[in-house]
Amino acid sequence: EYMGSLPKFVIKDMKTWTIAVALVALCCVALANEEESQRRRVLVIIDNQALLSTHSQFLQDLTAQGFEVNVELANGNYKLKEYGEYKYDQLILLCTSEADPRSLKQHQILDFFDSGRNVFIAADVDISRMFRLTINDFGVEVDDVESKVFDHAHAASKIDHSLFKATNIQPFPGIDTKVGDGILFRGVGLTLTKYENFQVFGLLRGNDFTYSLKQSQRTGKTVLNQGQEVVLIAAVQGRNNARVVISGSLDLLSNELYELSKGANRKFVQQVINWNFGLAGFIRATGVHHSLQGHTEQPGEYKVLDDIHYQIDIEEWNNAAQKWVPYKATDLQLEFQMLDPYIRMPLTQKDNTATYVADFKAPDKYGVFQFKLIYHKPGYSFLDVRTKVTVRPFKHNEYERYLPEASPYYFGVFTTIAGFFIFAIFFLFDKEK
Amino acid sequence: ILFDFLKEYNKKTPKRLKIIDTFCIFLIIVGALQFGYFLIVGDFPRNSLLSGLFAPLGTMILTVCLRFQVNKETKYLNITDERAFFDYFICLITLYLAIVNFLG
Repeated sequence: EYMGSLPKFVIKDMKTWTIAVALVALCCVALANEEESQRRRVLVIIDNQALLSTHSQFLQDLTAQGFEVNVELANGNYKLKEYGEYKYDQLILLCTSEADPRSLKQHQILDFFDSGRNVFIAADVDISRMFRLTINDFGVEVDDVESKVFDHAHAASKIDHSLFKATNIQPFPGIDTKVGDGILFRGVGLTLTKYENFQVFGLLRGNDFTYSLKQSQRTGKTVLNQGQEVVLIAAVQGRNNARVVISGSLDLLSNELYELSKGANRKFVQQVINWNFGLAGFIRATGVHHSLQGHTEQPGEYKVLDDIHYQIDIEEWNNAAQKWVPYKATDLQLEFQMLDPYIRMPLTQKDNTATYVADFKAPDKYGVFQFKLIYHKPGYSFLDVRTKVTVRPFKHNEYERYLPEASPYYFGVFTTIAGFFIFAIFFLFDKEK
Repeated sequence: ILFDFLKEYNKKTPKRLKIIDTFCIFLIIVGALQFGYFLIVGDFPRNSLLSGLFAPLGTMILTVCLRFQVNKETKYLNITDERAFFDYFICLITLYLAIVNFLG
């Protein structure tokens, strides 16, 4: 009766059996490769067709770097998500003048970033309000409407001093600080958020002669910002390690400035895109392992004043070799914390492998501690690795048996006992009555 | 006054009581030394400190009780000297058992 209720599905011959197994294997392989092709699909949104020709070298470079580029008009009919899954992994927005792209809303861009995917936004003098608000949500402010960045000392053209050379590049992994003669820039300035922040950086800033000027008919000329406070390209990295690069100039990516700067712009933009899309400066921490020094298994708890050994593997993605290589740094720090860090010590690399080790003695306090590795190096992914472990006090029989400090007391007690015996002898054998 | 007291003491008290008294003085010295060490070093192995102080103190208390028993003027319970000493001995053994265990 039970057997009769099973579906009548029986594989009768070897042929269908092998086909079924092959299909299952193919699905497994497809799922495994999804990790590899994860970061390849790029959606570029432009606001008019002319960009295809004025920025053709930029788009060609993207394809040459290994990305699968899809270009869409801002007013077109495209979707970031289909059936709940993202169709693209990186987003490039070159559609600054578009007041309100029909298919792209501010919250969609932010959700895209929250999901861990990277965004590149090119702002410019005519950027619309929707994009200003979106950029504000990333911690960067675009200077007012009708403002431009000028630099008379480093101007690249005699008539238009808003086209100038910028050389103040923040050292980021994978980005050269000295490229050619300088980066040619023409556009609007940005301001970083005023609050102390480890997530927002000025990737390309103005030098001492740069200033951001607003020229309007109503208010006349006002200088909004000057010197190194004028940010030309801003970089933001979220706590989920997704990255946003906001460039104050769309012309930075154009063929015209690529040629005028003799290839410096091109090289710089390639490196910035590499960083932006997670191919440079991307580190990860795996393989956390802690044990007593000299042992290998990881115990559930430690005793007060134990010798503890901690190790972790930290690797960096090397895009040229397309594999994870050991990350080299001397400023990794481990904390052993219970409300306050009792131990704080550097992690040392073991023989040029990816393993970093630290050996220390557990403090004289018992409780629940955490091994904390927090690493916020500008330009690299944020590391925040915490492992919880308990430290128990001594058991009843784990104390020292004989304390040398207590020897006067030992001496005193045994002297008393000896004295008593001598007294007893005198007392009992005293012949007097 | 002190000299007179010492002369009377030497004459009047029997030898046995004098032995008990010397033992008491010895115990006071031992106890004072231990206490002095505590004042210098402090409270560190508290268990050892307690047992080190209580050994001479407890022994002294019991010895004074023995003196009461043995002295003809202050005797009570009407037991012989040997019996008194035997009681004293048992009590001291118990005391030392506890103290030596508490030392560690």
